[in-house]
Amino acid sequence: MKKIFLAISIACAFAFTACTDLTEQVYSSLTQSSYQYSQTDLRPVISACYTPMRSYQSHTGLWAMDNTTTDVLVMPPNSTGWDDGGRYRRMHYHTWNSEQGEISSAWNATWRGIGLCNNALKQMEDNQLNLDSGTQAAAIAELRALRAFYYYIVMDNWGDAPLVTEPTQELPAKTSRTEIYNFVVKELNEAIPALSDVQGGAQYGLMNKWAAYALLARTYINAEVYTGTAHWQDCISACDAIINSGKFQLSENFRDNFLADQAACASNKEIIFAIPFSQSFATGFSLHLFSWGAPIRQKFKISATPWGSGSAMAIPQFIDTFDPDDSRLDDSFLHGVQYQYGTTKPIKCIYDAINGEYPDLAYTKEIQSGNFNMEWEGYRMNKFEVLPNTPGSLDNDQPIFRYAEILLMKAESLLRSGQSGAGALVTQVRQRDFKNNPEKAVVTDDQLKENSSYKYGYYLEDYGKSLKEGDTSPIQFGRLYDEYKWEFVWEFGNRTRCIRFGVFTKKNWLSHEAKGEGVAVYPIPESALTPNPNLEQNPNYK
Amino acid sequence: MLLVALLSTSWTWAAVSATSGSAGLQQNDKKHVSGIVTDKSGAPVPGASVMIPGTTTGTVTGADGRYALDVPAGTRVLEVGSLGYATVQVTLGSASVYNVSLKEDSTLLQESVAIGYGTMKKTEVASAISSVKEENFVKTPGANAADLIKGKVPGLVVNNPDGNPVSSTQISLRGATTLKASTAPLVLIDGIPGSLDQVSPDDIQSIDVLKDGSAAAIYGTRGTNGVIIITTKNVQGELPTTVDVNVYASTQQITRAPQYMTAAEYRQLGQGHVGFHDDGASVNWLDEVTRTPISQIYNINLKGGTKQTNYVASFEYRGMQGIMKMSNNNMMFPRIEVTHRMFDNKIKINASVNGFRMKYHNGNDGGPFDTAVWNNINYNPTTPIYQPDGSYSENTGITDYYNPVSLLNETKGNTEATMLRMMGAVTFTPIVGLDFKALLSSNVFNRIQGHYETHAHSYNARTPKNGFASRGTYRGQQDLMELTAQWQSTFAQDHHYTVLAGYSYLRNESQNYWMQNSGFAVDSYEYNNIGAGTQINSGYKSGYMNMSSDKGEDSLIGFFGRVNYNYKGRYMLSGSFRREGSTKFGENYKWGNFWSASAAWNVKEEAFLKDSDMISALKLRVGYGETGTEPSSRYMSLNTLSFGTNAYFNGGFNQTLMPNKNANPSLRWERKHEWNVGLDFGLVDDRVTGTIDWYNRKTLDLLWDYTVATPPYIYNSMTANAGSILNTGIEVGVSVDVIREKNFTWNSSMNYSHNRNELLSLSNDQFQASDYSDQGSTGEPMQQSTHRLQVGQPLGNFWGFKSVDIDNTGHWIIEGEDGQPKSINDQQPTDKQVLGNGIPSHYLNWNNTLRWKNLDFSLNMRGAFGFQILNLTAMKWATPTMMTRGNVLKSAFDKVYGKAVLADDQPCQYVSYYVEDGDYWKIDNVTLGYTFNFKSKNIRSIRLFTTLRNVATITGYTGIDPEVSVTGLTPGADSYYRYPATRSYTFGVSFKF
Repeated sequence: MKKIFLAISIACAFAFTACTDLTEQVYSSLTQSSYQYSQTDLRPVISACYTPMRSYQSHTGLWAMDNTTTDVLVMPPNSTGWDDGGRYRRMHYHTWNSEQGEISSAWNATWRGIGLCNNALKQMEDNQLNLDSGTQAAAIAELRALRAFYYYIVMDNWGDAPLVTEPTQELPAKTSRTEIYNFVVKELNEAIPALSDVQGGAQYGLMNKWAAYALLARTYINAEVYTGTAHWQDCISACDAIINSGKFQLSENFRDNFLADQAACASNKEIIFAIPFSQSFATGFSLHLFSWGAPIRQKFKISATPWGSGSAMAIPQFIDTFDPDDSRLDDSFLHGVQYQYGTTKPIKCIYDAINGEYPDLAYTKEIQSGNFNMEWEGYRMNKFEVLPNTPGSLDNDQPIFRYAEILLMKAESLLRSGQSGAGALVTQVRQRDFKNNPEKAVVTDDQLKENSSYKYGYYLEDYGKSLKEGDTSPIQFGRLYDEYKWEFVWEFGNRTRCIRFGVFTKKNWLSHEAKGEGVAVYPIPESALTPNPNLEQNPNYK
Repeated sequence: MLLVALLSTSWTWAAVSATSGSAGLQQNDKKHVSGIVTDKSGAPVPGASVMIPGTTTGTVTGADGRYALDVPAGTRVLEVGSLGYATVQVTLGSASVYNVSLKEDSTLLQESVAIGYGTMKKTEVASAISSVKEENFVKTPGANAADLIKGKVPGLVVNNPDGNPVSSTQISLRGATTLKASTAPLVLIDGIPGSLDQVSPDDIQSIDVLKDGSAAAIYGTRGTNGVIIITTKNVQGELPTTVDVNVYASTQQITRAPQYMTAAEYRQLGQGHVGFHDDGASVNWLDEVTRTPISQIYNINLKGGTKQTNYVASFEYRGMQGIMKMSNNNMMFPRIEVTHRMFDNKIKINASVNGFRMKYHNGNDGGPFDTAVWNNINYNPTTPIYQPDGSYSENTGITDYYNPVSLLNETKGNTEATMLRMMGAVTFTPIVGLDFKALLSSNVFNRIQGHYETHAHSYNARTPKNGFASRGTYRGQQDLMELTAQWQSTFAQDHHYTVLAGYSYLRNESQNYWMQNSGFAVDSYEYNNIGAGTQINSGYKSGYMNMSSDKGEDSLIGFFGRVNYNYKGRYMLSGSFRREGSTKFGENYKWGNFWSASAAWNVKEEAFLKDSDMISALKLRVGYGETGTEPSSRYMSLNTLSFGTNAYFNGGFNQTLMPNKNANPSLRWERKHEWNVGLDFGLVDDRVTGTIDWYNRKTLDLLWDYTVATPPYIYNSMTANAGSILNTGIEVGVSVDVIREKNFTWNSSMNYSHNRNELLSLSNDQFQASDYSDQGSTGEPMQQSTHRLQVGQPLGNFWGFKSVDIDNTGHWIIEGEDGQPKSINDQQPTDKQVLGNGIPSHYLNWNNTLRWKNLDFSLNMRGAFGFQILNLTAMKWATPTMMTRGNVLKSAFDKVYGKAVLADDQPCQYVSYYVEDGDYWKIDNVTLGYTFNFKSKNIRSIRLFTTLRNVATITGYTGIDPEVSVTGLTPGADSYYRYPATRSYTFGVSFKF
């Protein structure tokens, strides 16, 4: 036996330097333990924390939770066979449960953002990158404000939730929505002084001082929903910080805010915070694919075919609320006959041949129901500019906070706290939308207190035949609520406002019937709940 | 006494050469004996050993079967044996010539089998090993090594889900033991790891399958899925050069064509449905994309040698066409192996070079076959292939709707690969029974591919790229060093033992690069001038231009040992141990220990059975072994960072730096504990032989991407070891010599296996994961998971809505969570339920071989029972609503549940209606051959034969072929992307010179 081991040992020694060496040689990736951080890693490390946000812009992510659950948009199945197990319809019906993919997608993205922020904050606090103290303080402030943004998403969508502020592997329990609210407010207020006050440019798409104020205003205006205590005056102060900075103004044209042009967006004075996308380098913005339907490819001569599921469309009752002279109707929606790019030749339908012929594509306001639509039914997205040759992902950016919202939030806070001046602010926003009828842009404080012009009611099938009207009580400041929708359809925040104005849980629309207060927060996804016994499901979903 | 000779690996036969005299014997005490060794037909047996039992004195017969030997005076017995023959003891008298007739060792129980790092007599094996020799192979020319033993080994499932000439066979042994790690068995080709398609089937002499844990534990972390030991053809001893030439030609047809509407039917049935549109032409798209393929194989094999030096050389060419147009695979397999013995056979040197060259059409960017070609046979049958101007008809609006003829004709591409397998080994035998062996091998695989889609390609019609080219290359290298020492001996006459110890070092390295470009002025460069595309100037754009490369390596190091002991061939004990480490394991667990123990009782050797004619063999076995499975990917345990995902800063999109997964320093191997109890028997002079095995295999520490809580984790999954799976089963194999006459033999063998599988857990103390996980995808437009893994349930459960009815207007009615019927419009994920299971629970194989004079006939039948198939093709294309997207199956207009046709506005749904029983019984292989024997010096024989494969199938399944993929986590899902299964017809000639 000795001989055997001797032979082995000798052979080993000659053939290989170490016959028991199991160190992994890594060639084409990096490992945390071997990587040496330096100052040049500052932006790569901090900006990494923003990237999870990009997945919000998805018909199966936060975008759907914010839009197709409300009274503005719906995604019914169509004749291309698409139903994806009914997931889009469940958003409309409010019959989601803890296995709804949209909700877990948003949850996972948000907590990844928080986790990355916590990691990066630790690195900054330990000064792993060897920064000077000024840079270090600014980095910490930016990360705290960014983390506050993610916690705002958590609080807004799920209510009570974990509050984790450092890298850990301990399984957290829930913290009350009020505590998360307090945390968000505190973090923002503490971060603001050290944040950059540069608007746009190099600070475009980053959590600068103004983005933080806008988030603070959005948080305060919902304070009553989140905590039971209103903070109208605090909201006004946060809005005023932005208004009085003199760095912002409304774009001359509504659609200037939605251009497929990074440089234009970065110098836009209305955009306070946006998620930047690129058709090559930061993909994922595919609103055109999931709203348009295949034939619209010919209208804009893009190089991708919109999906057969392309079905995000306006709810007819919402279109009815528009003033026909409001240019935002055209600026937000494709409707009527659609023509081939650069011609007056109508586009033909692609899927729905009727009696062997493909009809001209002319989008109708009417939709059969939330359960099915024909290819030509429903107004489609026209808000974001789409250039010829655009592939499946847009170059446009997704605005999160626009100056218009600051003005409307201040108006709302003034109205709700019994102060005057709301009308003037709203008028300011409307002026660009009534260029041919400037007098129609004017709106008074009293008009804003009127009921919404939206005809709520549950239409099971055949639009126009109301079967279950449901709650028809007037909506307080309903006109202001309409103003928000006209301005922000296809963007984010629609659900939050729908809740704040008391619509989300009470009213019926299209094929949606009110499901009560329980759905005002989403369920904690099953995938987060099961591995963490300390976490308790939200009340409506137990 | 036969033990020493028979236990030895093949080369130790030669160690007993005539010139190595036994110590202590005087020259003048010698006596000269000689003779000829023949088989029962009288033909000489070359290479047979003739030796004095218990000594090193002996010799081997020459090519003419003759031997000559000096034996010490007083030697009473000579032992004569050869592989494949029963050993004979010859009692020496005063004569000097002893002619010996060897009886062919026809029964399985007398064979020697490969056990890993050596061979062993079948009667002394205590674990579950199945051995198939060349003469029992399934005669399927043109397939890979797995096809040779298809249906021959109980418990080993060999599946051919498609007819793609490039795709590999699916193999699974004794149920699904893993979720995430590889399910492929370890394949050793003459001791060196490889894969089943790396060796020409015509070069294979035998295939041994180590099935249970006690047999496979010597291979440690690679042993769980079983070990397939391929022994290639070899010779020992003096042999004149013999040459075998085989020539085959074959063709194929689709097993059963999917029934899309013809143009006439489309016009008749489709009329009035939304989406119906008559474009005026009549095209059968299936005919446009398929063909009658012709494949040819030429194989030449020569072998020969002297006492000291033997050689084998072979060459094979296979030109294979697939049933899909363009689809092909051209291969060449060269092989040379030389063995030389020197210094009185104390040193044996063995070297070989083999491998293959391969070339096939590159149908899509990186692969042989573009599944879209098959998926688009539902193109509207009234749409002409070409427009009047000669361009392809295209409709770029409809999702996944491509003119399949354009996809075929406008794709240029080739993949060319070369595999070189080099091996050198030295064996040192200082005394008989003690061997030291050092083996070094290196396998190098190089692949280069080029792919081009012209301006007229259907993809370019949809996404104008102005020509798209890609090039890529891959280089893989595997280095192996193995040092073994083996000592076999006997004490107190009846106690025989073999001790083995060894060390193994295995290193794998891979390098890869890939580039894509588009925007070409002309198509004529194809992929040969990739820099000519303009997209590279505009920079990276997903799907248009890209460049990537990577490199990785891993090492596996093992120390192992084994002891085999038997008493009088009656009681066997064996134990093995391997301590193994892998770079892939996390730093907390670099090394694992794997061991096994087994015992057998050869009842036949007991006095009370020894003389029984009725019971000719009887052996009981029991074994236990622990094996492992290593993670399939490298670097999984490391805390890796990536500079990758872009974000907008510094005025543009720049790379960010972030951790890209939850690291797990405790990542390690899966452990499998397996018990095996077996019985081998032979009745009536071995006319009936059989094997029965029962096993219980439990996998622990299952590798899986466990859902972890977010927060606190950044990513919601972590690759870790937690859950467990149990497989229990039974395997029965019976072989009957129904007729055993001189001119007429009929062997009929049947084997049956049954496996029961259960996922015991998906959690442990650290991971409180959900007790289920959804797997697979129906694809669009259903976008549902197809399967659910659920604790307490078997793997392979289909998970969807149970359709119970259809309403009068043609909309599904499903069963709700509460058991009540409800409209499909109100579907909730919680309404889903188990709709069936895709893994067959019973397999039955029946093989018959008949020989009447020179005529041979074999008939192999196979069946799988107790499983369901998810007919995805029907789910998607047997629905009227899909008329909006081209042609649909005729059955779309059949009444569902005999009540109503599906409505035009009923979207596609994953309901139980599409889950069909998959049970099948196949006449899988029918071969008829005739051999002409010649007395000529120039030629020995010619055999003509014809083989039909996948001849007929009895099944209730309505899809193409019920032999669908049954491995992995989504077994039984019959995708509409599947390359069609085929029936093949082969004619061949074999010459022996």
